[in-house]
Amino acid sequence: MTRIVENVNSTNRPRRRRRFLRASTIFIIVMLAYSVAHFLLMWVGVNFNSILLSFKTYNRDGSYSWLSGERFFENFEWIFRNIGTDTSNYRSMLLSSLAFFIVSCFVTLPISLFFSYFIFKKMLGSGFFKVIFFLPSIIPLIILTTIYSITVGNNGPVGQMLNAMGVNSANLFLTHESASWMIWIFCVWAGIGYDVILLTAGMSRIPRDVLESCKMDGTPSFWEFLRIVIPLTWSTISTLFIFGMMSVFTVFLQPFYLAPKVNTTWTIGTNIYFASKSGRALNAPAAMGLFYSLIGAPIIVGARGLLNKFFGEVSY
Amino acid sequence: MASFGYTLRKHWRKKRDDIRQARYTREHDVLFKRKGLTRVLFILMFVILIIFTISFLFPFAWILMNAFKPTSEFGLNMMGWPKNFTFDNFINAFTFKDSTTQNKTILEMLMMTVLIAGVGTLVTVFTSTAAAYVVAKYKFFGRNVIFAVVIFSLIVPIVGSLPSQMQMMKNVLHLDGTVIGCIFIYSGGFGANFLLLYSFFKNLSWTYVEAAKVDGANDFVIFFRIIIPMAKGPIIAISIIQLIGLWNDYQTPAIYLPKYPTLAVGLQFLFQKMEMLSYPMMFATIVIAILPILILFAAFSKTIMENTSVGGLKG
Repeated sequence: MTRIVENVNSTNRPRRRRRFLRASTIFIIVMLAYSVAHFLLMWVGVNFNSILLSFKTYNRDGSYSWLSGERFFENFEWIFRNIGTDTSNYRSMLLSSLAFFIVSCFVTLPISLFFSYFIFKKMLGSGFFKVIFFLPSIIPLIILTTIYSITVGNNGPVGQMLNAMGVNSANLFLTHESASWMIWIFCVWAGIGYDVILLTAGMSRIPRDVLESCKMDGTPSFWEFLRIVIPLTWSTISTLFIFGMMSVFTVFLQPFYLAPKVNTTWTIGTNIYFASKSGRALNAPAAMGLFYSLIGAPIIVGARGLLNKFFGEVSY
Repeated sequence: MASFGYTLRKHWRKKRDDIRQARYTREHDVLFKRKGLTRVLFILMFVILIIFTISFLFPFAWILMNAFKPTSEFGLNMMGWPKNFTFDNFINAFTFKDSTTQNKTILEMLMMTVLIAGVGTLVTVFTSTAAAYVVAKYKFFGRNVIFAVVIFSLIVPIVGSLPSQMQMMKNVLHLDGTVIGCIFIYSGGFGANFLLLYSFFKNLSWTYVEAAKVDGANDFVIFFRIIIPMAKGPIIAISIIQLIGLWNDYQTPAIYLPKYPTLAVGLQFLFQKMEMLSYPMMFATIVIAILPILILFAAFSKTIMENTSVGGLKG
């Protein structure tokens, strides 16, 4: 009897296996279909369309037509023409955007690294400080910028202190130079938190044995930070450096929220956003986006490769 | 079912124990014992961080304090405690409407935010979970290609694809100006969430699944009855982080849903109007707007902080 059952089972096995495989294939297709379709449409399709759009011109009736002949690169020529013109805001846009690279990579990141080390070393109140550093990441940017501008502005407590010291706080967000400084200070003030959270998480993975042997050898804190902590958290540091580089293209709301009247502080992102928001003549911002992607992508990918060469890959 | 008071007491007891544990570690762990100059350095750093904390908390405290003052008092007594304590600013903030926000009150904006951020979170977390599970655990043709393309799309910065996206949403998908359009943009399964869940599923033991298969369970049953409960921790963490991200998102609702502003979009216009009318009412609006996020953060701070750091770096 048992043998019969076994025989029946063995003859059914290939069929059952086929049925099982078919069911698994259906499962895979069902589970992936939406995500793949969404990706094809919203990433591949959108970026492909972006390339096409940058070789088109906008017609008065709202349609787009292909550029041809001498006018084929017209949208890109417009970018170069503006770079060479002193009167346009294009140069200030580039400088304002590049300034965020300096602010993110050479101001915010080093300060955050320093703060993170002390929090990681469980200084008094480290848990509380971590929560404080996390808050800017969860509060909407519009609220953060509003609170900052009110506090520093003419009616705010800091603004009144500045007035008493002879600084006219009413004009802080109205001229290019002071508005730029106020935006950069805001970015450091609000940006440290995010970096600190990621860096402390990276540092917390450093094995205890390594730190204990440092302690036993009597390594001073400074050398421990420089020779142990930095190399062992290099992947996190380099990732944050790359994020900082990308801020040249990604920062767009801060200048608009803080200094809406000073459009010379606006970045590449702000300009693309407002050029697109009208919904008309999308060819120009598309060309601008494509142009900066072509410049930015190899630089950022190259920088990533270069940063990875600084310290060897460490697994622990 | 445990009462709310009991849960609260339990939470505080746990918090107190954690603090005690941290203090014990700080005082007795050989790694964290400091002497001489190092001790001075740590004290100095403590002072610097306290100053930073004050710089961060003081504006919020100042705004909270002034939200309870009548408008007439604010100009005369900006720094002092409210002399005429009032809730009118909060009541007015709830009912205030303006043409710039399509005559929507903050409550209506809040509802819209809950709808978009809530549904957007549910959809995107589900699609990410499904995609990550299948790519991590099933061997099929194109699996490595999918993974490589996703990584590529996350690493290579694409600047300004917004114009093309807008054209696509308007002319191809016809989802411009709809709630569904907004949610559709959020709903992609391949992003940072995918990577976090992928690494979780990759390390997940396959034993339970094999046992379920022997018992005759199909792939859908396994996914919904075994995998999702096992991945509850990371899924909840990702959901909270995603919810906060969508709650604060400005760009997508501002572009695709201008007629139904969410909080992040509407507040900008409300603030511009209120700045001219009444500062205390503006402060009350700020308090109302950040309260839900702060409550969520207070309830899940540990989960959020632990998983944001992991999620932020796995890519």
